[in-house]
Amino acid sequence: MWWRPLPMPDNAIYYHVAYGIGLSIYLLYGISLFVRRSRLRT
Amino acid sequence: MKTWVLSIAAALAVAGTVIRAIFFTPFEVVQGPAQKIFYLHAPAAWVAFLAFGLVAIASALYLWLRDERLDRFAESSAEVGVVFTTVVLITGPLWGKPIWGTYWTWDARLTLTLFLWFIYVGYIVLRGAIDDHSMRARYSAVLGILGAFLIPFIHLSVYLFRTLHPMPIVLKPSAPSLPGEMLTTLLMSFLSFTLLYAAFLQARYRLAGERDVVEAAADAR
Amino acid sequence: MMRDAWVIAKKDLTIEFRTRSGILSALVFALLGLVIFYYAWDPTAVASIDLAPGVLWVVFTFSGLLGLNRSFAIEQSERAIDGLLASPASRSGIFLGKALANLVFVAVVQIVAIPALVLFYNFPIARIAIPLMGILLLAAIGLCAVGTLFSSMAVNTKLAELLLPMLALPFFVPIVIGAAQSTAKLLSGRPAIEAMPWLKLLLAFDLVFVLGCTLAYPFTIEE
Repeated sequence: MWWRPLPMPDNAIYYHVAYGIGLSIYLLYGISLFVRRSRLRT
Repeated sequence: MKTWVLSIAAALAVAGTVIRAIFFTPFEVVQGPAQKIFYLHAPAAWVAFLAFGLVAIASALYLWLRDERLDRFAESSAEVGVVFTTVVLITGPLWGKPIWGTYWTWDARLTLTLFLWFIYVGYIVLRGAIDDHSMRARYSAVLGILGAFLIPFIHLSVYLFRTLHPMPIVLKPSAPSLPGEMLTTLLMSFLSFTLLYAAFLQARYRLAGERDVVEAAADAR
Repeated sequence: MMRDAWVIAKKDLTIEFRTRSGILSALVFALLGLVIFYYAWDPTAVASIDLAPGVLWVVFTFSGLLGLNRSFAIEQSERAIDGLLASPASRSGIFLGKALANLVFVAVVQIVAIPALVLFYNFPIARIAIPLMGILLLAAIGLCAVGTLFSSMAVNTKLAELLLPMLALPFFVPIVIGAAQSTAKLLSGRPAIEAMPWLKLLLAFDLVFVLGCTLAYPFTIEE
């Protein structure tokens, strides 16, 4: 066949890094809210 | 236990969306795996605008009604908005590098998001620099309202800047037209991250309320 | 209200004229800025004329911040601001007076800085003198409206003058982009019509923020 689809770009590393950093930010912010509140109560 | 309902629902929704996005959504053919960054990036951008819009509304209402709860709401929404804006600013360039070929470009939307971040970081610093409750509330309300007026001007100026300067065609952001499965994942991500915003906002608002009670008790002594 | 504004502006300008400390430091700052910026680029790679609009507007903004910082700082000693607020002058009048004094301050700095720019950067002023004055006025009005309001807020915070640039600079972004781009358009000999979108942007900014800041100022004052 003279035509074949272009290979899918190999850029999974950016996707992994973005999910890693993005989701950790949310997680860390959630933890910080929790910590700040429990510190306030002591 | 009632206080945890929203947080748990948001955590479950986000976890479900992320699992679906990672394992059960196919790769897009042209952009490859990097396209999946969209499921994180686009909802964060929507939430950021929502959060800052609510800051402006709560600020205007505060100046009218002078209710401390509105001030606490604006404070909470601004901080949560900055967190989501940070995610937008980090995931955007990580998508841009493989797709546009460069981490940063002075694209109108990207630049606007950067300035949003600056305005509301300034808002948080302003709040931190004032001890008096009433003054802090009034000053930050003024900034919260003027910031909302500024956004269209920044958008217009960076947009004019971009259109008056010819840019390489590859730098144009492509409007993603997604097939069904991906669209479902995207819609789910919008819903679940909006839920996450609501949960963060609720937790941050409670924190602000408890802090004010503790501070009032300390002042009374 | 306009009369109150005029009296307050005259008071501030008299203080400034008698002490001359603020205006001198802003002038020296502007001249130093022009010189330092020249050395920040490779003159064989970038023609000084291409740099001129950007340098002009960056120096304009930062020397403006110097003057704005002083605007309410001078009212801090012996709580002079309380006397001002207790006077029969209306709140909006106080704000407009302060902004007017700052406008004159910025204008004086520019009257010295622009000839220096002409000299150092071989800036062909003759061709565009009149439209440039228009751009300067539009940019200065917006800068002073926003800057005066934030200056009045910043002096009452723990960070004092450190806070003003952080609050004000995002608001100066549309001014700097609009002014620098319209200056560059005029300078490159393009028809004036091409600078129009930028001038409209500046004009709209001035209208919105002069009105917005004048209305907002009374809210920043203790009832």
